[in-house]
Amino acid sequence: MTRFDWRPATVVANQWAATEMFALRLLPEEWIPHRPGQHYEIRFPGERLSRKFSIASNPEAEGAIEFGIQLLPTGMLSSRLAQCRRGDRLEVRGPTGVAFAWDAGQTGPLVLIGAGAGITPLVSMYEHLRAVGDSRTVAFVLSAKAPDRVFHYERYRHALTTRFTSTEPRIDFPFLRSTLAPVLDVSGAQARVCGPPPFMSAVVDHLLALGVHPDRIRSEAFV
Amino acid sequence: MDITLSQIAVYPVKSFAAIYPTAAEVVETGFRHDREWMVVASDGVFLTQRQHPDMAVLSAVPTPAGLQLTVPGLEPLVVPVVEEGPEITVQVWGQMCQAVDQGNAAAEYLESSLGRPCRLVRMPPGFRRQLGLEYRVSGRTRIGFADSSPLMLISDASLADLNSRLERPVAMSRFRPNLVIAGGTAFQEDAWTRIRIGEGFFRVVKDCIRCEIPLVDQETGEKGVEPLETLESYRAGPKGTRFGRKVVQESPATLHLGDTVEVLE
Repeated sequence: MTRFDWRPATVVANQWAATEMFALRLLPEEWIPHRPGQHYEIRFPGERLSRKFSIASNPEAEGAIEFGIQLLPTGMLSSRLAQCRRGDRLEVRGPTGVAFAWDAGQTGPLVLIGAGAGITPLVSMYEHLRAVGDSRTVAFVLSAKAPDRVFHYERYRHALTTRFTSTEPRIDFPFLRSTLAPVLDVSGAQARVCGPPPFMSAVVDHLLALGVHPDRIRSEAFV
Repeated sequence: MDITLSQIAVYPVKSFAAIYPTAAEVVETGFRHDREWMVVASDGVFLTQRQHPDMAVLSAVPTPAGLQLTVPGLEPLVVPVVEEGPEITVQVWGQMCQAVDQGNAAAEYLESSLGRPCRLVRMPPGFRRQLGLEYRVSGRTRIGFADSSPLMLISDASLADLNSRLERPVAMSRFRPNLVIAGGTAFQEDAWTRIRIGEGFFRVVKDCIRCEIPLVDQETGEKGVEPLETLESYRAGPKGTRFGRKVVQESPATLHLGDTVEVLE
């Protein structure tokens, strides 16, 4: 059995964590520690339909894994996962993902930038830092439609610098510069960006323009 | 060693299997018929292998009698090409556009395989989906239902490099290029900005950032974990994992297998 094999997992909790977003907690038969920013593939036992979901929990929380999942209007899997109850059986494969993963072993201040449901893997990184007692400077920036759309908003509202926009997710250059420059040394920072591709691409361009080294920026499309 | 064009791949329906002609015409949208059709869900949003890996084993071939569709377990079905007719609003990557519905027979045939309500749609006459600014070579360039550029190119040598790092080699079809190049060195295309292939001149504009489709074996529709874990380990960049290059034609041309590739810039 390797992390690349499908294995059984049991639902231990499933609850709404924002409008059209739920927190699904699974207990895999065999728990393999992940790196913050990685994902698992989930499917119903024996079915062909599967999708990758980012892990929201941190690796120090051994045993169970929490996912932040967006309910998509035509999502064939997300709509069924939203119905899952404690004790239901699923199958998981993972953790997977190499480039986007980040952990406290990497040096420099941390910049986390997400849009909407793209907050999920960033939450794992943030919780990881708290769990290991790391006190480095973290800038946690989010673009969202409204507070009720933010995953576990009450839990993270004080950690987040949030830009609410009613239309497309957007973090513009002046906003990013004024958020980052006063709190951290941008040139030495590590950055992780997660959101829809156009958002991601624009934010990466802003980070490069602010002087973050390309090797220290990694992004993940959240679609 | 000479660099030549070793494969031409055209994908008439977005996310379906490729056809591999020995020659193909490059028009304003890339190869003629490339991503001319696509399948949309009942809400108009396009369906892709990202959610439906099984689409890899569905095929569509343009014939004089119409578009010949083939799904596993059923006899092929030829549906007439509806050039003008009822249009529906469809959505590709958040971009809304109008497309011509191709009728109930096509929809029912594909629904039986995809297991969900869907419609086959085609670009209407004069369809204009503009390229991103960074891709615009001339005012005439446009795309069909392709993601972001008319063409995509990969060297055989780049795939050989990736395969040398994998336990089980993968086929080029997973990356869905339009142009495959033989000869030269791995990732030579990263540095190219302008090339000639046979009689055609092309701009090499951007890296192709990979989505999840390379996880899908295009012969079986099975989704695995590789080659992306390995690719990510050495081809990651700020905007994602790079493999292949996006290409835009400078003018119409006809390309043939074996055409010489000349690197101009």
